[in-house]
Amino acid sequence: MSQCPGKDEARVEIMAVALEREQQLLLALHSLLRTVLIHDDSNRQAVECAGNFVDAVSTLCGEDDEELTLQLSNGRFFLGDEKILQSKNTAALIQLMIEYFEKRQLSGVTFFHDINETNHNDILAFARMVNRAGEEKDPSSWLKNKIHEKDFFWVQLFEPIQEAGDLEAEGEGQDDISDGETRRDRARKAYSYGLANLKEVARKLGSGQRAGISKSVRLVQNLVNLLNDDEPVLLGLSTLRIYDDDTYSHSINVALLSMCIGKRIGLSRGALEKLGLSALFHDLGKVSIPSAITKKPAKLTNRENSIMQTHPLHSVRQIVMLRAPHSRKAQLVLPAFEHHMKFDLTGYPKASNWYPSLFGRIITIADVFDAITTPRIYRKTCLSPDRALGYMIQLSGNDFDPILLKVFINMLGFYPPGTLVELSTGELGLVIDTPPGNHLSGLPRVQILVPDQKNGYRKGEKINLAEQSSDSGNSLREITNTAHPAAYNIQPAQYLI
Amino acid sequence: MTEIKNRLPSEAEVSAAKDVISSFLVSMKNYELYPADHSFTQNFLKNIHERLDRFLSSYGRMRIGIEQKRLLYKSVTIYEAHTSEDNFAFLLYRDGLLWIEFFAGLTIEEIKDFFAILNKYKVLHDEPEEDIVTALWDANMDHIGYEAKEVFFEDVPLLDFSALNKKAIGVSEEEKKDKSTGSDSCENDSDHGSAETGNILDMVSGGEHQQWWSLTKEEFELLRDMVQEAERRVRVENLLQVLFYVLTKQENADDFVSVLDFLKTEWRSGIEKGDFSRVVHQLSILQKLKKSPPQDRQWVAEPLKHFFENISGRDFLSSLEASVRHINGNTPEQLNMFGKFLLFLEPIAIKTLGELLLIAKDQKVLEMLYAAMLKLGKIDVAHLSDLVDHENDLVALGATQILSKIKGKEADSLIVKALDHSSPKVRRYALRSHLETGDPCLEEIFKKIDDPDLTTRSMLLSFLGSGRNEKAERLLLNYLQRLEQQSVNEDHIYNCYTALGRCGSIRSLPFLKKTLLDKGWKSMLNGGKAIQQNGAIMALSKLEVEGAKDVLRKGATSLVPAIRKSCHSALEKMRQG
Repeated sequence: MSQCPGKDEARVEIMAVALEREQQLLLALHSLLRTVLIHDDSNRQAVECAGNFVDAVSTLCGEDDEELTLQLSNGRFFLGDEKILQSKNTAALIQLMIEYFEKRQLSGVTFFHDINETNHNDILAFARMVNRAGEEKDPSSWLKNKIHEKDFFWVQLFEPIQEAGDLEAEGEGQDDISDGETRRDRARKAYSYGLANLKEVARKLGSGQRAGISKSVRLVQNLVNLLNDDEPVLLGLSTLRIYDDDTYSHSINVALLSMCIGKRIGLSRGALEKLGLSALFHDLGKVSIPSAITKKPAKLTNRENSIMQTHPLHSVRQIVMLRAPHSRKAQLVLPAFEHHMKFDLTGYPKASNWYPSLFGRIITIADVFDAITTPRIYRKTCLSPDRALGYMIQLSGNDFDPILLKVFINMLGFYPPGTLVELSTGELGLVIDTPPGNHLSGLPRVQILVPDQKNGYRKGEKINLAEQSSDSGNSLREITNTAHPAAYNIQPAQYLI
Repeated sequence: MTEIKNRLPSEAEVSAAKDVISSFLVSMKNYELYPADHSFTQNFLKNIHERLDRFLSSYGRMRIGIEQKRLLYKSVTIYEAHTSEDNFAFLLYRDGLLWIEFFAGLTIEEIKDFFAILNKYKVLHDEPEEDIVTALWDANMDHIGYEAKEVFFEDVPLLDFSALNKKAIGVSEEEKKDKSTGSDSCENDSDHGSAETGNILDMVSGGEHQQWWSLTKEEFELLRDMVQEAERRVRVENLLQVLFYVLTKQENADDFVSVLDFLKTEWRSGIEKGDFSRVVHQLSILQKLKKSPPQDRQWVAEPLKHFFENISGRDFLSSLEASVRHINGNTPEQLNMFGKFLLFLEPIAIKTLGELLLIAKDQKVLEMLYAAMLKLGKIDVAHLSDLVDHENDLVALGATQILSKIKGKEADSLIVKALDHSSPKVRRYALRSHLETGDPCLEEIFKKIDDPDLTTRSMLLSFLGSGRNEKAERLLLNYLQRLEQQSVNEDHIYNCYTALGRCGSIRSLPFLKKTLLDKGWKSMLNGGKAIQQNGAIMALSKLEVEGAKDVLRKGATSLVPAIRKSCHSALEKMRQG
């Protein structure tokens, strides 16, 4: 019995009732692996275990022919990207299964929806093979081959676990992350993780499942660290536009911009975390709006528009559905509800006698700025970042809190990072920032972009446009026009961070 | 840092590090056993603080590397787990912590917070949402550092920014010529319509743009206030309004229930703080909705029914405790809202409300609790059942008082139940209440004939003797016949005979005659005080039936002087009327 998960049966006295579906899957797998050690294929209990296991997989796969991934990472089981939480009832089972997987060097296994059509004998044969793998020299490869030999198309193994090295990370401390390159890497990772995380949350909510936000919390905490270390990197990151993935990248951009505003006005790191999370989830309700409306490549009809305008309400509902501590969710509700209300309450949802929360007002500014500077499928054109600010100023006090808008403009400068400028020299420059010394002129520092051989651009020199000729006292380069980087197929983040 | 890595620690240093870890483990176990404010807990926290302090003064900071089953100090193992149940390293490892570090200046408070986090996320227990890394981040301790790897995102491919360039849409070749890409309709998501716009510098003349750079003194102050307010509190009032609004817009039962559940937690927390007005307002709307759901949303009635039952349960109502203790007539509005809140409850709330009677200090609060219990008891009296035999006499008495006001068969039967309460006060009240119904169950109340409380017995006997009653007579006769052999309180026996005399009839005569005339010598021989005979004389004198006087006259010729004397005296009194 040393090879099987039942070696410590006494510990695994688990009530099958009241277990989460994820935990039930582990229990079903455990029972299956244990039962095939004792019984042959014709045994009623063995057949029942195989059936239970298939049921557990199918339930979690849902109706969309999805695959189900059970992964072991860092001594934890994950189902999809959601960690399987431990409870008093299941702790022993989970520990046992971790040991079982580790012994077989299994880092994960994917079950496909076809498992539904597989006969019980194959399921039982698979279970026997997994048990047997524990006796092999290279269990994971052996098992992989066996699965291939048997043509079990409904299951696939992950690559084997690498032996853990010395993980003591001396010399890799937080205080060592002063190098700009490392921060850029962190920023890039944060954006990538953020996108993946938001998509997963939205996918789950869209299919009626409950989504946890622990990863989002961790992500936002990392962003707060990054913001404290290097605000310009975060601002540069917010210029990223992923045109075929606008809802998710928009939410991340809004989070980045909101947190930058929050930092400027002196919010504590705890409040920045709340603001970042609120911004990240402000548009969660769009999951509930038919894509025929959200992706419509034309102006919406009145009816469609009124459906679209329900998304803040849906956002609140989706936030309520999240699997997270109540207090955490309560912090997210107001900003999501208020982000289209407008400062003078002429937006939606309609409210009177209401003063939008600080986070709601910040997110409104970040939301609009990102929206009107992003080309969308339903909009022919969009504003360059500097013109977007010009547009927003006109709505100060109506749509936007005038003080916060000032802070926002202070933060970005009249030429926000990512604005493309055409210079009197015929050069093309990408705004990096507006140095503090340029406040009077409002002129930015730019990254000159030099055309390369592949119809793209490479980085040239960095120029402060406030610099004047020592002879004439005139500006060396003047801005003749501004443009949206999309007009030149330029992704500012590539050059800014 | 490299220096630290390369320098191997001395034996003494390793031993000191091991010592710190050992005391950590012992303290962890203790921390599970005792409450945070217990003196034991304080002592071991102090102890670990001293050890760590000593270590940090001698060796500078202490960074502990984390592996699945090991903890390392400068690459030397200082802890190794042998079983998965008791693996301290795994607790730190599983959420991705790479190392944890203690710095000089570490306070006891920080150690306490650290232990609280470890305890919350300990292995082999119910795991909360979020993780140890996010908890450490939130705790933001000055002298405890850490680094974590992104275990949750290990498989996520990183974006290649340059590969995103070619995907731009929405900017046509024609528009590229006018590279300004002026604004157009954005109505689909931001409701910001078309507007002619340019750079701010183009829009304002001269140096006016500077107003956009600098905040005025007043704006700074306003901003500071806004930040302070946002840091200080969640705007519960608005939160409740939003959630309630969203609730009323839900179109299917599952979503409705989820939002309602969420709201319930908020209401609970509001009630804990004594903030009833918003809750009352929203509950009144929900109650109306429950009573008359709109045609297209008939389904709301069922979840609302469950909801109102749920908020009437102990779990929710325990939130009332603080308010019940503190509310008083000095805050009439709050008191009023408290009373209104009670009116939303279902009868299942009775038991918890009854227990709240014990902690209420203000008379008005007590009255409100009584009034609510009375109202609910009238709807379903059965919920008072647990209270009438509640161990606390105040609760049981309250319940009995309420039952006496409810009236009816069910209420009466519960009052009878209260007759068995351990408190004489409750029994007396229950007996009085039951007797006042005018149709008491004599068999039931007669069980109180031996009640240890004199008042209860007197009340019962006084009732039994309040008029001729065959049932009462039979019960008393049986009782007194059985009583012969027992030694019972003298007054009680006299009272029983008196009651028999008052309620009895000719049927009692043989027993009384026998008691008086046959037992005279026997009782004297027993050294008794002729209690039974005297009792019989008392009964006979009250019996008002033919033959009673004859028996007394016969008694007046008894050889026992005391009996003779008593019979004479009774006859004399009867003669005088």
